[in-house]
Amino acid sequence: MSTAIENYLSQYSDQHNAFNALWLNEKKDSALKVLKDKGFPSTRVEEWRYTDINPILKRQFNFVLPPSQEISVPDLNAARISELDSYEMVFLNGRFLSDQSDLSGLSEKIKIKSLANAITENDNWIAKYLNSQLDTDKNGFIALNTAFIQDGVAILIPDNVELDKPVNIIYLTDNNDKSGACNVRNLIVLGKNSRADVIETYFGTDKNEYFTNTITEISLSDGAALNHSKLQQEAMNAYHLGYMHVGQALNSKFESNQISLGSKLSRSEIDISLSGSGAQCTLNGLYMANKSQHVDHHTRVDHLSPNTSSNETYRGVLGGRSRGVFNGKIVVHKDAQKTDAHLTNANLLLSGDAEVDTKPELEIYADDVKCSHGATVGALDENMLHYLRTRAINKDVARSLLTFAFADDVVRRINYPQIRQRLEKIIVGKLPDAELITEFVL
Amino acid sequence: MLSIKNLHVKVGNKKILNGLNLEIGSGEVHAIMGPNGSGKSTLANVLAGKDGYEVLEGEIQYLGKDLIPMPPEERACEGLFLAFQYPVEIPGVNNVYLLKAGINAIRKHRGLPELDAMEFLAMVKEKMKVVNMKEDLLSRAVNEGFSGGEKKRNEIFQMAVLEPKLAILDETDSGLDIDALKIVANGVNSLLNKDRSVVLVTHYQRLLNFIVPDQVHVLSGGKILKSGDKSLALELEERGYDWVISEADAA
Repeated sequence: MSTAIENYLSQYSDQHNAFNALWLNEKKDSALKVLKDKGFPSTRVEEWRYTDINPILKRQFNFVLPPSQEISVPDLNAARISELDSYEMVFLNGRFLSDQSDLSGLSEKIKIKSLANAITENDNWIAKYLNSQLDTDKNGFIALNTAFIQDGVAILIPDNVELDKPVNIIYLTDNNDKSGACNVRNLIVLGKNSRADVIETYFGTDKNEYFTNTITEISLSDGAALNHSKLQQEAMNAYHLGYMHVGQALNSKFESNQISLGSKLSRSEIDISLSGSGAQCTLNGLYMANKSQHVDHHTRVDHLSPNTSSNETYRGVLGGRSRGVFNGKIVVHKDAQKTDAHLTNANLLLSGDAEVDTKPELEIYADDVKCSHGATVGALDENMLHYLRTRAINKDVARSLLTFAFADDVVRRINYPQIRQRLEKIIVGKLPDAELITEFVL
Repeated sequence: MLSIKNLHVKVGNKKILNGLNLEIGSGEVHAIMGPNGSGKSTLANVLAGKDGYEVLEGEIQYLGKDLIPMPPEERACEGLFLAFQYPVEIPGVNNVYLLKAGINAIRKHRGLPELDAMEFLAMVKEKMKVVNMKEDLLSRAVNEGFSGGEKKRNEIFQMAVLEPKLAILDETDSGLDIDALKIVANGVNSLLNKDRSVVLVTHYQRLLNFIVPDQVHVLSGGKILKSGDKSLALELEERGYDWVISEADAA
């Protein structure tokens, strides 16, 4: 057995019965068994071929740290999305801080609370939905997350209710404790014809190394619509593994924006089951990496019913010696006639040492479908560059402008201007000659 | 203003210009005509400084300076402008931003203070009248989703804003219907002055009915075979290019 698993096993009993809830303990026990039996994926497994998680396994991360209460206000402010009117939930090192959060004005019929509170208060819907759809067997990190369920967000929107403001969740890791790990588990359940917008921001400060292992489980009932954004702005010495599972019933709509900017080594994975006919999903993604960052995105969309549609656009900007990995899989099952599925992944390599491994995949078992997929890897367009230069714009500025425009194509799909502005500022800041293009793009 | 002597240019492995000579004075309008593949667009691209065009021999003097080693942005700062035959669409880069960046780079180069947002907008609004630019095109991405005619108009609008000393219009008339052609030609005419020279690269005499050239040159096989006044264009319209080529071969 690997030392990583031994390390986690030794921590397991310290938290196993934290909630004194039998149903949860059973889930944790069976997840632990999966972890023991299966272990963590190696690069010999096709799904993990390009992402070596050994750096995470080699470190002795600790999931059972006592909650910290002292939050750095400047760090929290940096993590906040300014001027966004929202229900704000703040987590520090994976634990909910109610006095930093603002859920005022929330209608009583809507449930938005920390997962720990929901479990403690014995909300019956939690037992029903938590870990109900996803496959703990999929890989060791999903099992690990389930075995260490501790806190996160629990959202339940009843039938026919539209949430009036977005839920803005901030996971701040200060990591004053060396080798701390955050186990985040979110559950989002939308009733029939309900609507909500949810934003998850992962934000860290560069002190010690830390590890975030996060899962968001989403269940959308008939006609429900969820707009979800995940902004990964972890510290540059952090490890981040994120998994999201979305189950979609009849005519439900899901829109996802995944933006990966931070972290030394990160992987974000989404699995979507379009189970009900007429279900639609739109997946937008942007990853930007520099220096020796490694960023991996895996998506899988299962079209299981007729008239379902998916539309996916991921873009990557890779500089320095960074490495990007993209794998997007669309599976059209045999009953999913009239499926409409499109996937593109475009990558911009800014340096000769940057690398990307991209693999869009289509598996089609139905015969009446409209599907397309494609991937590109390249440098900036020489004709565009030349055009800008003939308009007196210097070469470096022109390059930065075009790089910004490439990345912004994804950012512009996000429906909150406050989020767009935040991201655009960060993107510009990552480009050479940031000060020269600021006035033209912000 | 511009003096080209014995210019030989290679693109890839293909030699396109073979000893081209051309003199353009201040405030003059020159038309360069010629059959397909004669080197017209190559000449325009070499003047704008596009990568991949290798000058093997000859010289280009622009306002007394050697143009060949200058990067494209410096040429633009020195007052050289190319209206593209096929203007590129640049998604995500706003038209106004492009112009503001361009005009201020040029002003900085000339030692002038940068325009502030108010001055810039006032100037842009004024220049839009030159080619009847629609205001909504201004806030869109550069040429993105523009019709062929709108792209060509946008080129002349940019010319109006950047106020070049030498403008090369590469087939600005192609793809324009007669009404659009008149608008573009009127725009160019309104920008003519004694210090600004214009080179019209064109296939057809039609444009020259609206913008009257001081000189007309026939480019074929990578050199200027014949030069004359505006009547030469009419003669070409009537007789084609073959007679000029045979005449040159005979000489």
